[in-house]
Amino acid sequence: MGGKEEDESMIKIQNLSKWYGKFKVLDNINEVIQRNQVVVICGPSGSGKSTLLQCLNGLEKFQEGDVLVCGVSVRDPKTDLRKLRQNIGKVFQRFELYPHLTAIRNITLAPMKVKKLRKKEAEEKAMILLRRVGMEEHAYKHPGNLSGGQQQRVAIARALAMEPEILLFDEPTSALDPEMIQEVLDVMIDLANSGLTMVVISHEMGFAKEVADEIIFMDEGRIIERATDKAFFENPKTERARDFISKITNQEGRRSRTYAMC
Amino acid sequence: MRGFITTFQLALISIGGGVLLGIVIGFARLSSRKIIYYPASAFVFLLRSIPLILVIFWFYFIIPLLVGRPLMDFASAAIALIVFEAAHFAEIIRAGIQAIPEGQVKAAYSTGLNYMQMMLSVILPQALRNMAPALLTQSIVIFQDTSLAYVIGVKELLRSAAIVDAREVRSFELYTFVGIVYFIFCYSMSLLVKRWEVKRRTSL
Repeated sequence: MGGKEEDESMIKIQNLSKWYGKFKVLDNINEVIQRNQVVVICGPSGSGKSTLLQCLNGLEKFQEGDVLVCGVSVRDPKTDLRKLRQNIGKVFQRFELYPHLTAIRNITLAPMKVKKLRKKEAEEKAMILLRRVGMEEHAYKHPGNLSGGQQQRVAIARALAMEPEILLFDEPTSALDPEMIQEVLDVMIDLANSGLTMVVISHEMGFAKEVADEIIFMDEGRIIERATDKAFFENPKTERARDFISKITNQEGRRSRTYAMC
Repeated sequence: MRGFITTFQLALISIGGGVLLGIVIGFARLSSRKIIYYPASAFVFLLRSIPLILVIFWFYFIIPLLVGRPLMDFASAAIALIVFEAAHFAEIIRAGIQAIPEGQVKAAYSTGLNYMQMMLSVILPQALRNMAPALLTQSIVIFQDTSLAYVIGVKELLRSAAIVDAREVRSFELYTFVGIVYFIFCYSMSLLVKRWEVKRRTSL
């Protein structure tokens, strides 16, 4: 890597701090995410992971520091946030598909409104995306008629519709029934291998081990530990990370056991 | 018959104007800018805390003093109704929009939509579906409220009956008839709303 780092960095988080009133949710976060990197963030709830993710595309304001996306400041009032967001797709924990629109209309909405694509063209592109997430046969169904896993796959297709270079995932599988987690993870692994830059909040260790270039452990608004190798889950350096890992390992163990029973 | 048409006109104007003004005030109540939020909230709380008849009196007796010339009965009643009902519509609209989960707003923004696109394509279609029954119910209430224009001499349904009564002294028949007219109209409207609501619930 070395000298090339400057041009290859997609997201640069510099001394970012954020307060909710007096409570400091993010405490001096520094992080550089390179092009094509997959970064997995884990940590207990309330550690500021989601808030951090929301700061990356300006959905949340922050008081100190800055985030540069492809060199453009999120905090600068002159920045066109809408333009910046088009390059950052986001997938939510609770899918957040538009319930009044069919799957395909969920995907074509932004390309038609923002990029002013014609309906036919937008739908052709949406179909390609739906095929990619294995949902083409459900294109004309409303989200209410889809399972959680299916909804999340449509949501991923929607996030890809603006052809972003960066994709943010906010606990994409934690609202899913266990048997649906894998179908979503498979899509995500496929995306990771296709060269997208991804920031994923997730406790899915299997996913992290398979595709993560870097694993970040957060607690109380700070990055406690980062690891570039897969050894993080086996051998965390800090006490808090070790404590946390042992908890989620237990949980996953229980999940597979219940699985085995049925 | 004349009276019924006047009542109908008054109701339509009040509903139309009330919804339009209500949209403006409802959105103002959602604004994060204090200079917009506070006046709108004050308007809503003030008007929701005083009886309609007072608002009608107020416009009828006080506005002419301010403007320097008297308003027509009908216009004065219509303005009073619009202003009063706008406060109620504003709350229905505000609540309807706020009931949509914030994640929908974030999802829309994160695909690069602007405020208008987000509101028109994502939030309002959902919110409207939720608030339609409340809006219609409020419209039915307005239809009945128009009878209060009686007090400032607008010849709406009730006033017309009173005029005929003064001539023919058949209070029982006349007021029963007026009651039946209001009842038939409002009851059939609320049946419609109910049917629509049931349909909506089963379709979701």
